Formats: sequence, structure tokens, C-alpha cells
Amino acid sequence: MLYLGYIIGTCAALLGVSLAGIITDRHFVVIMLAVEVMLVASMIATVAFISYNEAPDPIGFVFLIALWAVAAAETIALVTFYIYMKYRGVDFDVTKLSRMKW
Amino acid sequence: MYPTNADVYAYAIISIITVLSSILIFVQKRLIYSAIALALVFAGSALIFLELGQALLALVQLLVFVGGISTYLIVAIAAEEKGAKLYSPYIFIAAAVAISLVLSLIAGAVPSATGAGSSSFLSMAASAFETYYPLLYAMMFLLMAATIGTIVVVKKFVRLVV
Repeated sequence: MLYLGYIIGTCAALLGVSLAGIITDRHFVVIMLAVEVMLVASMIATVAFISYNEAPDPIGFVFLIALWAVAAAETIALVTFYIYMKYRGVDFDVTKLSRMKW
Repeated sequence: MYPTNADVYAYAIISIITVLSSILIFVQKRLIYSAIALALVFAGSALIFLELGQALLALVQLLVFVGGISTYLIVAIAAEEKGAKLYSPYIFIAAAVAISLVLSLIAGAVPSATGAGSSSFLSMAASAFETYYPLLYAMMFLLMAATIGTIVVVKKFVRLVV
């Protein structure tokens, strides 16, 4: 088994990259992809802590399933919003979004 | 049990590929390439699961995320893509390096523990299904709500266009 610090370091790097993407980019789809990367980082951390725990609590498994469900739901929402915004002519620049409905 | 050099090198390669793929998401000009880079991040995470001894989770990650979600995302974006992304790659790279360094320093504080062995995922899953089944039902409803919402939005949109 690897040192836990290595895996948490990878998670930190993924989280840092996605956070930088959210801070510096204004494109709606890119921000949603960055959130996906954040979810991947948290999935890796969860699995690492499950694997390194000699007597893991089942709530860790539930948390992992929750992460999978949120990531899948987010992708569905992303594609739906993307197609909807594109055909409605809405700007993908999130700083220009000011209305909830067009 | 201490990690062997082969383990560490394999993990280093997987980790570098995963992090580089995540950077590629933000520096690509076309969204389709960003979606493909995200698929690589998913595949890298599956390999990390495998490295952690969780073969079943790695398989699920590959099947659901690389095989399902990434394909869905790539096909949807490829079909509908227009224009270039709004981004400034230099600012992104500077911010990514700064934030990753800070987070890695924080991660350095994590004790260098090695696990005694991989926990049995299946036995834990069985226990979770017995104890926390309402939470699992809630997640199922989340996915169902997302899917129904998609159908409602797309149906409305199709009616407008056709």
C-alpha cells in the first residue's frame, strides 16, 4: 500500500487545478467540468480513507455512492443546460447571467 | 507494510497523468477536447482505485464514468459545440500552480500512514445497504429528479423548435 499522503497530495492537486479553473474561467461548461474534477478528487480521497481504515464505517460507502450520484446528476444537468442555453441564445459567460428564466 | 518502488513509480505516473489531464480541461480551446480530458481524469481515478486495491470500485468507475457519463458528455458537446471558450490560459496556469502548492502543503501535514490492507468493500457495502438504505433511496431520487427534469426541459425545447 502507498502512503496516504501521496494520495491526498494528488487529491489536493486536482482540487487546486479545478479551483483555479473556476476562479479564472467564466465559461459555464468549463465551470461545471471543474466541479466534476472536484468530485473526482473527493471520490479518490474517500476511497483512500476507506482503504486505509482497518475497520471502516459503512457511512463511507454511502458517502461514495452520494458522490457518484451527484456527479452523474451534475452531468445530466450540465448537458441539459448546455443544449437549452445554446438554442435559447444565452451567453455562456456566467458573469452575464442575471436571469433564471429566458 | 511499506510501499515498494514499483508501487510508488506506478502511482506517480498515474497521478501525473491524472493531474495533467485535469489541467488540459482548462487550457484546451475546444470544449470537446476538455470533455475528452475529463474522461482521462475519470480513467486516472479508476487506476488510482486499482492501485488502492479496490478493483470493484475501479470497474464501476470505468463503466459508469468513462463508459457512461463521459461518452454522454462528449457526444452531447460534439453535437452542439459552438465557438471557443472564454479563458486566459496564463492566468489559469498561475492560479493552478499557486492553489495546488498551497493545498499540497496542507496535504503534507497528513501523517504518512500505510494501511494494513484493503478493506473488503463488498462486506461494507452489504452493511451499508442494511443500515443506510433511506439515504441510498434519497440518492436514487436525486438521479431520477435530474432525469425527469432533463426530459421536461428537452420536451419544452423540442416543442419550441419543431
